[in-house]
Amino acid sequence: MMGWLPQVVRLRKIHPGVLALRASLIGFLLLPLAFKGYFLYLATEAALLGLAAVALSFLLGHGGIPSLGQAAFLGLGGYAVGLAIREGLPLGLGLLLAPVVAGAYGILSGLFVFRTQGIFVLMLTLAFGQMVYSAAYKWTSLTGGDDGLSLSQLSVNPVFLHVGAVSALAVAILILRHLLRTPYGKTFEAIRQSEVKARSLGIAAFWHKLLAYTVAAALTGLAGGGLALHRTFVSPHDLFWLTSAVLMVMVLLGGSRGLWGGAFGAILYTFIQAWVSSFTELWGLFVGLLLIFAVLFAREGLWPILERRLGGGNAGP
Amino acid sequence: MALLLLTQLLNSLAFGMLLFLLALGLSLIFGVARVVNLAHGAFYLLGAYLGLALTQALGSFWVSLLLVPLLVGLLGVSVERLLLRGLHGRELEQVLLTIGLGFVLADLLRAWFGASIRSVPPPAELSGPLILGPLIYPKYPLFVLATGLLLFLLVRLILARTPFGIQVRAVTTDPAMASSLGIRPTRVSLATFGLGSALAGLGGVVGAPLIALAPGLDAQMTLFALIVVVIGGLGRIEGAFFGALLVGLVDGFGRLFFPQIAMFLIFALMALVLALRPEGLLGRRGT
Repeated sequence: MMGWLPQVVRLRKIHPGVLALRASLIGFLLLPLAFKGYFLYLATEAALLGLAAVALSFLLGHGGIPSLGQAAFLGLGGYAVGLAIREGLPLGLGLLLAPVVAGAYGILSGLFVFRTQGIFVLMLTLAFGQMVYSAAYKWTSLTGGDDGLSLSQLSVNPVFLHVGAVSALAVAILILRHLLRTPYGKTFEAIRQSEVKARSLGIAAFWHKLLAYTVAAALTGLAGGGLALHRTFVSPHDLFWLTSAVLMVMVLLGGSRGLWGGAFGAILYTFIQAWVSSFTELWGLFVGLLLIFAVLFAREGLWPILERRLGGGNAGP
Repeated sequence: MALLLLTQLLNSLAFGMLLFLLALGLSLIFGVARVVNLAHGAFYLLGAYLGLALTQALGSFWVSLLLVPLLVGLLGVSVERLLLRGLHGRELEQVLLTIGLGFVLADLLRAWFGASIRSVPPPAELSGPLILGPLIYPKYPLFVLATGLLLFLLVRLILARTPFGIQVRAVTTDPAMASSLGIRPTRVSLATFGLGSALAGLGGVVGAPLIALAPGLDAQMTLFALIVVVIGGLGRIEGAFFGALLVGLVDGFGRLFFPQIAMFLIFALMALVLALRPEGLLGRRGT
């Protein structure tokens, strides 16, 4: 009867242990502000990659969309920021352009990708992702080709960037988690569970998936823009599908359900990677082994296990 | 001009046949085992480097043409047996595992053989040009063309006539029904995985003199094979065959007329096919 009133109070208890765990994740990311230096550099990297991983986790864990082309959105965001700065546009406009460009490519490729289902989605997202990679490589006049785009003249205060990255991550998680509680989110989950059933109830599965894909693309684009500022460099190598697989590793390690797992996986991965790269050059070998390991052993990911431990066994996703 | 076009036509067809070898393996494996093997390009690259090493060690291209598919096939069989079998029915996990495997293989190959670009000479019997009136054309691409055609006919014959082929088709169509009729899907899928990987290895040996070896070639070949099966339709060898020819032609003539955007023509072709027939040109709905 009063359904039109905005729902102000949500009667949903989160176990304090789980809340503390989530707070400590954000706290861990803010900790390096006291140390600066390399630790801060890695933490910013983890927060930005975490944003991209959370977007993928939204698609994979809640929508059942196995996107293997996320690197393209990351790269589009990066190039959008890089080119905007090269053309002398203000930084804010560049950071606005990043999600817009990535989201536009999300709509465009999604229109084709979601004409198919299941494992074809993975193959097509991979193909459309690699398309951006080859464009970045070939279109030398725009992207600088193999040499990449250098933004070394730019100096963003690392503390400022870090705080921005961590707040973007936290806000994205909260917004996406809220989105999952709306009727749209419930429908999105229903489509993952059984697309045939959802369709027979008259749900336009295609548009639901396309919308989610676009939102995830835009968020990943924003993360890519942030990474461009952070690394002060955009390289076409980062658009290779190895990067998409890295995001997949993060999501699988952290756990694809509940979104916090993606951020946790990103932190875990970034710090492991920094440690591993200090003694080996075999980067693909490392990612590949980690992926195989994650698939074989990390069935639901680490974060849900942690939340259950602290939440007394009844924490929701 | 006509000669140039004819030369490019032959080049495109040869490349198309090479893609067919790859896509055939991918398509067979998917049909029977329901696994999209994204390590396929890495198997191709492994075959190419193994072929190079064996040819140098044994001094004969033909011996390595025989041995390498056996070795790569063996690898495929053990991957199916040891890694993929336990994940039966979990499509996404299986695909991710093959991706990981592909990265591992490609990186090991790079560490072992170096990152430099290697162009492989064709065997002595097939090097040099063939002179057909005004057309002078190297012999090797013609060999690739013939190999592809031969294998297409051979695999078709096997699938149509032999007991193994009938089992493969039965499992592809309906695994539950096939197994209730006394066919063991696990055994058939193991054999198909071996065959498909062997075809990728063969593709590597045959393709090495055509396409120079370099790190990153594995991903490129996987991508090409994926596009071919998306265009042609998964699970049918005719789909792989005509899809590969089409992609070969578009790539070859694209490179000739629009060298800047050749790769995009292929993606555009794929998008067009998806828009009009999402199941692929020769695909069946519901596979």
